[in-house]
Amino acid sequence: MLIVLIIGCVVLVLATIFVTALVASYAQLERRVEQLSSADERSVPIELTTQPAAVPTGVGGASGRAAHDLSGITLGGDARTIATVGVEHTTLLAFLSSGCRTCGRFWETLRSEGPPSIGPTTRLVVLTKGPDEESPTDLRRVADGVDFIMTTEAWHDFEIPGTPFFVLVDGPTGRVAGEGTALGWDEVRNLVALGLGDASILTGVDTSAMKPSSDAERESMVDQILMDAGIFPGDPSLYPLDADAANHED
Amino acid sequence: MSDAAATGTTKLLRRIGDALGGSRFSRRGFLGRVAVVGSAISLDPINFATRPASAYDAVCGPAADCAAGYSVFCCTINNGGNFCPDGSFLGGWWKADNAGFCCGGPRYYLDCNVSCGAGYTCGCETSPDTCDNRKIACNQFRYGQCNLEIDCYGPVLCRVITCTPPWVFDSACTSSSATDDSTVAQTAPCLPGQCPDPLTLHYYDLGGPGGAFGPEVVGVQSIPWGTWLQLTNGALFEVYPSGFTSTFGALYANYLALGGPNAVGVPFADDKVCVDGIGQYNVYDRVEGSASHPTLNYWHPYFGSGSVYGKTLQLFNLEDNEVGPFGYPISNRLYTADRSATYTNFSKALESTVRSGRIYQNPVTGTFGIYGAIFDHYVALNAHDGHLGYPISLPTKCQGSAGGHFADFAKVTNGEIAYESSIYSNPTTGTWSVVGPIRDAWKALGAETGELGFPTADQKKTADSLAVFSTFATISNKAISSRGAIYLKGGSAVALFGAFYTLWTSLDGASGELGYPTSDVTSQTAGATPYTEQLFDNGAIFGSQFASACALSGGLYSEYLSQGGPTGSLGLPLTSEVTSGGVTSATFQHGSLSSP
Amino acid sequence: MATTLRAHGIRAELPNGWEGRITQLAPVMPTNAPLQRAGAAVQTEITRPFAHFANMALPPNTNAFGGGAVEQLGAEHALICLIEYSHECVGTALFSKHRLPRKLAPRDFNRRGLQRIIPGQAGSQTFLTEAGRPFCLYVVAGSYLRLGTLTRQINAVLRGIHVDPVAS
Repeated sequence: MLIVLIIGCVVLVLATIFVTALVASYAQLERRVEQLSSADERSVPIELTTQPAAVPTGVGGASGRAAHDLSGITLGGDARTIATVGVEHTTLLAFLSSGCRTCGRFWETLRSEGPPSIGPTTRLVVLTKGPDEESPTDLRRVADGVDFIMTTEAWHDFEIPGTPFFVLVDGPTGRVAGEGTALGWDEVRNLVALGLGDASILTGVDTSAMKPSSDAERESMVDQILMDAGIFPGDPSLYPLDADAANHED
Repeated sequence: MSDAAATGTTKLLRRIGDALGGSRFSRRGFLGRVAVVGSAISLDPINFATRPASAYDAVCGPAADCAAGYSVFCCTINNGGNFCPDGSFLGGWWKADNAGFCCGGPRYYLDCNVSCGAGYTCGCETSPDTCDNRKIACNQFRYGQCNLEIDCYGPVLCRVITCTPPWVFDSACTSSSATDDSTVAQTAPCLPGQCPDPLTLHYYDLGGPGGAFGPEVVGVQSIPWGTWLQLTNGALFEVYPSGFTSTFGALYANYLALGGPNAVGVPFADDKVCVDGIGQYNVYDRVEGSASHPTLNYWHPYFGSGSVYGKTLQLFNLEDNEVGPFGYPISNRLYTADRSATYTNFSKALESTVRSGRIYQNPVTGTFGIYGAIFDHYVALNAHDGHLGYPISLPTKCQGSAGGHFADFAKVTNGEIAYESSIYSNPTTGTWSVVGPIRDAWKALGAETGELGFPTADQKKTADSLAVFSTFATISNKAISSRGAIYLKGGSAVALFGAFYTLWTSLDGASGELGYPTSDVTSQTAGATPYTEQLFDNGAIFGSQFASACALSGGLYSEYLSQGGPTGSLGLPLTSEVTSGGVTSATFQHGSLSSP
Repeated sequence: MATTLRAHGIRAELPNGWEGRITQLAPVMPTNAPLQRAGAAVQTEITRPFAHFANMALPPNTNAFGGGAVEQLGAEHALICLIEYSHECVGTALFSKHRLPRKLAPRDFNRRGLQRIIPGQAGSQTFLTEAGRPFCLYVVAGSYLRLGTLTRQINAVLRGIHVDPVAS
């Protein structure tokens, strides 16, 4: 219990530091966004090289703006949609580009090591703009096992200022839980930790309320006992009376 | 359920009841809130990262136990046979790319689905003799690219493995592809190992050790034309440019008896069924440079095995192979006792009988064969060891309208032909030989269309053993008329026929007064009157317009000659001599003679 | 809010929480060496599109019939595979069912109706022809016990699938 308390305090301190940095760079960011809106979108990718700034919208919460599902194509040319809204997990969207110098270290890790660990409940999705602005051939060296989608539409949906940029989406609420840029995957983990309020992502100590294994085993055996007793899926006795109408099949 | 398990369940039920009936949860709420994690937990055994590696893992690859959810390999449950067992059919296939088992190419898995109505029940392979303990007839699933005309199917019984594309392996499969690389390392002890040679892969495509070819006897060996693999029931070959070929069963056994690839070469095609749909054959070729040395190997369920090659094969081909008059070879090439020649025996199935034949190869007489009645009579006369020698012709149709066939023979002595003979076969007169000088004399008279007609017996010795003779007869409207004979005495062959032969035989022939004929019939004239005359040891027979045949012998004959014979004062005889009361007399044109 | 997935003449309106992928692999040339040595022309395999829809994160590499994804299905997850076959399958007995099912019931599922039997899961497989194109619809439910709930979600996806007569 003491350890949990100490770790919580560390997280709070870190959050304070980042908020301070954010305030200092916000004005600079605002000026840059104005430049972006008048620039040719097909020109050199906008690279964010100033102080890394994470913009948490709430530690452990998701009260930011609405997120969007993704629709685009994979590096192999497959049509792809990725759900970020209405899902049980968190999704970290990594907006990268091939011409961005800072993106280089992110690409390097993806190519050589595959997707980095960012916690058991967070899904990493790497995005680039569509094939009209990026070359799938150049990007194909990304390692197997990386969720990858090319979609220019997502840039607009999430109002991405430049690359690299990261957006954390809380699945159940469908809201942005955090966003910002970073210079490396370690900083990305900070973003995720802040967004989820889960310091275990940084420390490796899992502080989430884990279901005791005995409960999990009990649930498994309950399932089996019910089936052995002849109670199968769809059995009316499994549903409350007032939900019967709602559960009635079409 | 055991007592211990029952006790545990009771406790559990109590705990469930406490949880479900408690104030915090209702049953509906409990199940509505939590995920049914039972299935998720039961997935845990499928966590191969935590399983310790074992020798079995190396042989059968990953996911070899029943709980992993995959189907067993057919060779595991089909006595080593890499094919669909009875009661199942190819329902579909998938592939795993970059398979070491297929030398880096795609490896194909063909599912055998249980046929509707076949009695298989779901289970797991539990034999301790294998690590392939996967499921049998459990997965009610079909890939759907094969046998699309069958829409009723049961679960997957087992999997067939091949490196050959399924649509090439079995024409009932389409090439519509499905890929699942997760199965790439799954295997079984009854399947070949990593990247076997192409011939071994082909062997397994044909069913492997449990298939028709049976287990390996000798592993893959190189031969000048490629490689071959000796199996229990046959052999497989990979030869250029044909690719994969084979020979099987009795043909294979005879192939080995002939000496195998070093002796007769290799098959450039698979065994084939003969035109009659009964026999089987294959052609093996020993190619040396640009020279081809084929051997035609046959097997017939009634006649057995045999082969033809060399000049015998050339003749056999000309005679339409097994469809022709010789039929099936029933032996390999055999040597005569003195090894001066070789021969091959044949049999042909006719409507209600079997006809035998033989083809000889002799450096002096050439390559010829005979069959049927001619061959049977030849064998009765001791074949090549007898006085006829070796055939020097094929059976040939006789001249004239009486039908029949004949074949010629030559006796070889000291490497040279001593004399020739023939066997004639006619349904009316029978099958008989005509030998040497008698044959020559008979042929000089026109053979079967001449005065004498067909032989009616083999050459015989006379009663006094001083001569040999053959008898002959003509055929008219399928009726025999005994016509004559040819006698060979003292190196001379003389023919007797017609009225002269009839008279001579009535006068006791060679043992009668006249004795043996010493000349052929000659045509002469006495003044303006033509007559014929044939001389004998002790007399002569005359024929003229006055009498067809008159015999004169002994003293009376001598007296006749002393008076000038036919051109003398007496003229031509009108009767044969007659003996009465000790006096022999005859009547002539111009008088008579008597001899006491 | 529905998301639209569209490729190769297949369009799917996916409900909230569902994602999908439509793939067509490049054919792989068979490497049967003896056939090639003999100069025999070996026909290349035919690949046709296949689509996956799931209410979970689809792994980057999933085999046509769900291998790679089915192992990750939780009890509340379902995977829908729609696999197209080559045109020669049209008109055959196996593909004689016309039209894609739009409503599956729990009784349409079988705990052994799976390409790979994973305890707790259940599968439903149908061969059919839709818009003149032959398909297999293969659905895997993460939990047999939750089919009542899962089939409602599955059917919502099935109702949102549209197939064009010719693959584009």
